Amino acid sequence: MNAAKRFRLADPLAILLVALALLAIWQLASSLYFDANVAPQFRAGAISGADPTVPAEMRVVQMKLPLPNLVLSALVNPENAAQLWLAGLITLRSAVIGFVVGGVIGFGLALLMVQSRLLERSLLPYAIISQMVPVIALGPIVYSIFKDENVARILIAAYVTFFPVTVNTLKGLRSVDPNALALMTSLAASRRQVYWLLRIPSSLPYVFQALKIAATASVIGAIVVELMGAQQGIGVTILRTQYYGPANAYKLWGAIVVASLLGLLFFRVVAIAERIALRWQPEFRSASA
Amino acid sequence: MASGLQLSQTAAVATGGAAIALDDVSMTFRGAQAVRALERVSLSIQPGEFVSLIGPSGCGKSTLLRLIGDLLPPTSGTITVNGKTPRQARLSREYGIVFQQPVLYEWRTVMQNVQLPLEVMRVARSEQRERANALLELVGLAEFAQRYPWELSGGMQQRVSIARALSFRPSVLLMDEPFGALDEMTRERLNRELLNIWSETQTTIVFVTHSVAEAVFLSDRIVVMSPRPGRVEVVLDVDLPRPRDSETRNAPAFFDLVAEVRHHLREVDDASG
Repeated sequence: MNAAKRFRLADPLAILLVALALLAIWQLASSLYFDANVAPQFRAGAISGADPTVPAEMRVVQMKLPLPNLVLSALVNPENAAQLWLAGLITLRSAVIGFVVGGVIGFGLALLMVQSRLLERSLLPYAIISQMVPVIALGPIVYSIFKDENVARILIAAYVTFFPVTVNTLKGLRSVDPNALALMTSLAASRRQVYWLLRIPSSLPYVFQALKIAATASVIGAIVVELMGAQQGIGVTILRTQYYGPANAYKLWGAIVVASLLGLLFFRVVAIAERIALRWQPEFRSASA
Repeated sequence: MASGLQLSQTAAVATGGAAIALDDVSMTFRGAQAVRALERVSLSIQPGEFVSLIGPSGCGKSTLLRLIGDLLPPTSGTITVNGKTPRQARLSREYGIVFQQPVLYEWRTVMQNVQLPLEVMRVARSEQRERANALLELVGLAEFAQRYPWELSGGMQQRVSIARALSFRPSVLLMDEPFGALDEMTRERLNRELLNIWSETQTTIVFVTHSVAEAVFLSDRIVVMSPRPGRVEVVLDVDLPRPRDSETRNAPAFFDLVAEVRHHLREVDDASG
């Protein structure tokens, strides 16, 4: 228990150290790469993107491996920052709504399937097949049907969420201690009570496992829809900055960073909710008594 | 010297019958290979009586407990509990069950665990609290009411489980090796506590155990069972005076009874090879 606690305290520090180390390696590699491929007289122009005389092969150097310090400054400089973060929030909003919708549907589907093996055997294969369809193909179709990018994003985010939630909830609802169930039987508890008082609470660790996976997947799902045709969102920013060429290299990479941070943020929120809801789980027990 | 046994039998005559009656009960588990778990078991338990089932593994003592509690249906024979079928008795909530593991719900506090049966039975909140508090007092865990099960020792957890089983005042308490996972000292203390609780609640107790000393210390009668298939080998009266306490364990009569039970268990064991 002591070791676990020490690990938890050291956690943020370790993460920060790894981040710094990776940034340092990236900085070193990209500046070496930059210096090796861009002739000295074109360096300022390759970075600003404003000089049309810079040869094309030297312009794309920053697209491939940008200098991280310049990416960071693109994230905070007022010209880009507001636009980037706003786009990110638009994507995140749809992802979160889709996540909630997909979570509710996934949970409901599991509750339905756990009622009988027949229902499970007849429904689960379709849930599995649904995950064989590439989201990247589905995005434009959904968009063309609803003609609304918010609806499309929400649907795809829900689509990638429901499956892990269904599968894990199903397992959780079935993984109940037989004696805990026998206790309920001896108390002549109703079916509903068995669910509310026993099956659902004991399935929650499995549910949260799925929600953590779905948190990041729903953001990715929303971005994929944006890549297929949308007007707003971080995916749109990524696509456009890629089209508009090397001059936007830092904005592109900034958008990629924003997109990753959104997924990370969402994941953290779900993980914190898990910690609060499952205080009783061995991994979250505080050392007391 | 009036023993608990004689008292409970008098009470039984007054209420006109056994609390639990098993008549020719057999149980076969079906499967790839059918297993004969119980063979024509007949047994009568009086209201308020403390009866222990003892025997080697595979003698069907836990199965017998589950048949009485309607957690399993017998293959043949009849079981009557307070004049009802086990199913009727279960539906009218006459069984409190205590397992070898405490089987506490981890997400509930000690208090909430004790309240669980009352919640299932839709007892008013205020009464739930009142009864749970009284029971936690009875098992000596009042100050742990707001703790979670994992913050308690194994012995304390099992006391919570007993409090939970008693919360709705069942007429029959079925206990399946409740102290089997505990150390000797804790077990002996909980044995004494159980007798105190029993004398206060007047519940009929059917108690499955592996421990001869425990069975002798607690019971009015001990049912020695033999394995494969499970049968009642012999039923022994325990006429040690009540109330029993630590001194009981030092009495010559206690040792004699322990020796007698051991003797029967050895015979059973030799016979089954």
